[in-house]
Amino acid sequence: MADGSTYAFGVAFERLDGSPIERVDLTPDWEPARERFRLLVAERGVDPSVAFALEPLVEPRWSGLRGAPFVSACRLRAGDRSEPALDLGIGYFAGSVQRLSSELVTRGLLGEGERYCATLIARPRAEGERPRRGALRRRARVPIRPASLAALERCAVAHEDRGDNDPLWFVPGELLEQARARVASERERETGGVLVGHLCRDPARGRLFVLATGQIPALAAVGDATSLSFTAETWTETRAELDRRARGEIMVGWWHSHPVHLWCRDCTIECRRLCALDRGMFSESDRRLHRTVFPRAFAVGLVLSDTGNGPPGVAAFGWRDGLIARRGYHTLPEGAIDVS
Amino acid sequence: MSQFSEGPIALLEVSDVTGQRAVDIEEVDGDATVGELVDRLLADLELTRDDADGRPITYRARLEREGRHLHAAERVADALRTGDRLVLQPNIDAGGPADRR
Repeated sequence: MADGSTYAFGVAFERLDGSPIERVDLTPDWEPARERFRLLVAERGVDPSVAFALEPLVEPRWSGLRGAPFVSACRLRAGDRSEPALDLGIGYFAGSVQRLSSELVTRGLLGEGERYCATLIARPRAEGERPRRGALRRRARVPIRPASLAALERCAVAHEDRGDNDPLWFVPGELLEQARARVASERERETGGVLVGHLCRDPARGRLFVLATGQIPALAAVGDATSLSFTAETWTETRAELDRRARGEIMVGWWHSHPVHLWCRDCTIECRRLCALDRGMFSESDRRLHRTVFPRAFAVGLVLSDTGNGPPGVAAFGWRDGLIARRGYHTLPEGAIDVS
Repeated sequence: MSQFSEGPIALLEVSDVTGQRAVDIEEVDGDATVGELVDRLLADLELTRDDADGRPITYRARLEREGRHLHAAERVADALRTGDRLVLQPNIDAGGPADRR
């Protein structure tokens, strides 16, 4: 992954008594954080073709206690240092730190289950050390439509409203019914599709939100009981269908099913009552697909969990400050918008 | 022998599957293979290289002008013209928890 930061980052692993274990290079995946930054800029009314093509700088915020090279947070901001700025806490790097610590265990530098302290460190890169970025002309095609949020909020039903700052996400009930119907016809294997719609701005409130207007079934995707392969042909067909619809929609996310009733058929009722699979989860593969294809900060992945106990439940996952997290969504009543 | 051009190909537009992010490539080595070109473009488009299990993700390059996927072994100068548009399409899996596989 390209890393355009003018700083090189690493992790200092130390024992709890402060003695050093090792300093390890870290190559963070900055792109989800950059996308969050771009959305922040777009929310401020900057032309989306500019906002979504920005290449923010990443700078360390030195630890107040220990000073450089120890880092307490990272700040993303535009090259001209104008507002806004996005601060990333250490939690952004937690997954990378965990992977690196596993490698230390494998190498015998850290005991299995041993507690340690991991601190982000940074140093300025030498000129010749900086990766090539910016020589390309980047284009962003993320149109933003004006739309009234109040009109949608009046008729929408909130699901898993977590009171966070995620862009509101509206999905028509009929669209979910279309997806459920596909799940019902493919109960022995995973199935899915691509969600299309619009990124919208409420002119009165200046707030961005997503309005899903349709789903394109991934008919060329290959599913079995535990996986769903989105092939190159899947994307070609999706693009062709999007063009055929000719409504100015963009891809705003994706959905797929988890046939939990197959995975859990040998589990006890008590076990299933406590199991996260019944409530909807995003697997590591799901996260990787979301990162690879849907890195925009407004994109959402829906999981329909077919537990065999009533209609499949819907769980939504999306980006929150550069990390994938479960999030809320709103459903719209039948007829609120055209989802044909 | 190329039916189109020899030497570098100028100005390609390459996008991801959503079409929301694209880059203009100003010059490509005509002697490179499509596979080598795709490898370079992954970094330019900030696309991930590995799946959740650490295996390389396979990307195919779709040439819009001809409506076909290019073969990795094709020579750039034989397959592409200046002004062409490519879409990089991953073969990628979603799915259930790894310990169920």
